[in-house]
Amino acid sequence: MNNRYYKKLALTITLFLTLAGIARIVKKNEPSSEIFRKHFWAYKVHSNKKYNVIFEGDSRVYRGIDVNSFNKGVNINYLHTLNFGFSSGGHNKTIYNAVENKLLHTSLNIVVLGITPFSLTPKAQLNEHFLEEQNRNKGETIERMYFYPFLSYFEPFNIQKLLHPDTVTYFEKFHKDGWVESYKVPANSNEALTSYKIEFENNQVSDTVVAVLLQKVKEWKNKNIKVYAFRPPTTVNMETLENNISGFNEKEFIKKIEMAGGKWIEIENRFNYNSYDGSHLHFYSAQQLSYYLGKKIKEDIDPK
Amino acid sequence: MIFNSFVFLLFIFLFFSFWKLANKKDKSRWIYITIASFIFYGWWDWRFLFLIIGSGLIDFFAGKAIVNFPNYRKHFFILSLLGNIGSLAIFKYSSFFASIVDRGFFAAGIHTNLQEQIPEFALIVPVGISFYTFQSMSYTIDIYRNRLSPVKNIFHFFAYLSMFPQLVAGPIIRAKDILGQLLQERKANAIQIWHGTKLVAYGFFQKTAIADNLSTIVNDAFSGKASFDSSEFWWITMLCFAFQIYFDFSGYSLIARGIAKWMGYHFKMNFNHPYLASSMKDFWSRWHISLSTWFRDYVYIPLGGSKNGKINAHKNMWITMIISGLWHGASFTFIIWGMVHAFFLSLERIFNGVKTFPKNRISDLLMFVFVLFQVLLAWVFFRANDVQQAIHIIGTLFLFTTESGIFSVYAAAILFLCMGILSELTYYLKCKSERVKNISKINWVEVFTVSFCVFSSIYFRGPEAEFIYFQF
Repeated sequence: MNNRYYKKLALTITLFLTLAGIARIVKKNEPSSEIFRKHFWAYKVHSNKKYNVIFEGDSRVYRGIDVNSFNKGVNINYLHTLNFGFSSGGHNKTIYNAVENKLLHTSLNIVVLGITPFSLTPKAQLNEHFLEEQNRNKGETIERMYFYPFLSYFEPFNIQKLLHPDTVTYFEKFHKDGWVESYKVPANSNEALTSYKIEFENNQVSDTVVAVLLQKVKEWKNKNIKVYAFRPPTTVNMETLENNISGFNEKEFIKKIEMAGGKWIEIENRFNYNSYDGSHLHFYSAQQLSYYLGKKIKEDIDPK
Repeated sequence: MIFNSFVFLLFIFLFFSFWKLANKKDKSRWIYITIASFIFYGWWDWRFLFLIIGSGLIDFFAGKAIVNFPNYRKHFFILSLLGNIGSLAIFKYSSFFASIVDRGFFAAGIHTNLQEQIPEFALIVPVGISFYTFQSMSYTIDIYRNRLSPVKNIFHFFAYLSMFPQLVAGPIIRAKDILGQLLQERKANAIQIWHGTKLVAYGFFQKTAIADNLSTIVNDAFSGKASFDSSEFWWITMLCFAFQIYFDFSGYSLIARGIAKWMGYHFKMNFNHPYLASSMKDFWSRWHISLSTWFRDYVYIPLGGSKNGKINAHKNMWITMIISGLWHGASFTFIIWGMVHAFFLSLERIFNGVKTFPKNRISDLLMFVFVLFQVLLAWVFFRANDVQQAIHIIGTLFLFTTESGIFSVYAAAILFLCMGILSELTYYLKCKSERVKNISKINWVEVFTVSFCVFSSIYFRGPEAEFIYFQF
């Protein structure tokens, strides 16, 4: 009697493992991984690793800065670089403290600020994405940090995509250095315009946020931390929209940040980069931009 | 920790590794269950362990005192009720009632700010507070009514109160059903292990494959993210929500019952295919059975039940349903949800509903649809963010407008809705046809079904993670 039930149990496990094996083979070429995404953000926030160069900003930074290409451009062997961008990330004390905790504090320390108009608004100061990850309970964080290789065997299928192959697909690859290599199929370079119009309604660039940022730049300069800033390139339409409705005055901002001791990096041919949604850069444009930034910073710290 | 997490997998593995050893002696069994349950609960926020321990201590000692000091039994009983209702009032309802008082005074031109005076800790609703409080209350009520003897050992009591499989989202087990089971070393045999596995597999399938995939359309609709707003869209959404909440909660109950089976214990069924109900009364005998019977035994019957005439019976039923609504959440939408059910139940009593129909498959089907229609309308209030949203949705449902694109944008959710309906239909056919029943009992069919459920709950799982009923 008992044997019959144990047999059923054994058969169930065997059949499940067979189905799981088939699923593993079928799923090999899926574009994005939920498990790796979770690991990526947990590692970015909770890892104890320290860096000499930290890029800080919002999603245009974490999708637009490829650390590897940057390192090639800057070409200094001992540099450890981190892309510390977050969705809807704002420049404020919470993030500055996190950046300082991740700095190596060696002879050369660099903070690179990705300045988008949205990142200077009050709404961005909530830093919800960063805080959500930082406040995640320990158990779940440990699960995301250390068990992801095992959990990746159990990545679910995207049923919506299976049923409708023409559904918009986000291709994302998560790099340990903080970059999300991404593109979308089909691309639509005007997609983000409407949501940005809504975002800037009653939510303009704040003088207080800028003042706190400038204060921090001064402080970092006094601590011998080099600060660079740049405006991540996007489409002409998006930049025009942001200049018109966000309250951001780029020229004015550049003056202020340079007076505070930071260095502004002007992106040459800024509209030659390709965006897949009207806000974020296609991964190969991200690589070009990162290499360019690396070169520019190299010219500044080592003018020879 | 939640059932559908990796940490829980580790926890359950460790728990059963030492269970055999701990199960041998009464005290070690109780202590082991209590400690494991506290770890399970404390994983969210260990500070709230003090609440469950505090409320448990009051009821344990009140239970003893009711028997040992018969002259003061009423005092100790009231103390126990105050302890339980008090903790619910502070942690679950203080903000709601303060907002009502503030609004009342504001209408009279007086500005009060009670809501902002509430200490921050009281604004967080501890997970599962309504479940363990009700469980604890039933212990002292039954002792007070001389239907139960108090337990001698405090760990025996806490093993019952905090038993982790059902601690945070039920089923609400009764002391008289489980204290006796905890007194013996109960070993799960092969049949129980297999049945437990089946329950756990079905539970995970219901929760992660069906309910979580249905959450996409429901969350989009109620958060305003969806680009649709027609009658067709809202009927589909409400159907999805009806099956989401059913499978989410029923899934949890099945997993809890399955784990209990592995331990050698038996928890009563909490859901009995409620959408196959032939009347609203029948619906309530199939939906969240442990809660509806709790309200029946500890609220409806003590109020007088249906003894003192028809009008009183209606009144008692309305009171019970409104309290049941409030139990689910501190919001007017939940109260209205209870009232809508009370209204339909009253109508059914007045017209004596089901008895007028002949019993056949067509009338069965008509009754399922009619009951589902009423339940769907009530669910609108249950899920809506506020009363205005609920009114907008109800209005839209009866405009009979359609939109194109819903089926392609939410293809996955609709597929899982069909799977949910299909699984209920299969059960219906199993009840009605001997042939279908026999097929489902074939070993290979059973093995394949369980394997498919486990596979689907992992590889077809949806995005939602938490169980809906945790918030209650």
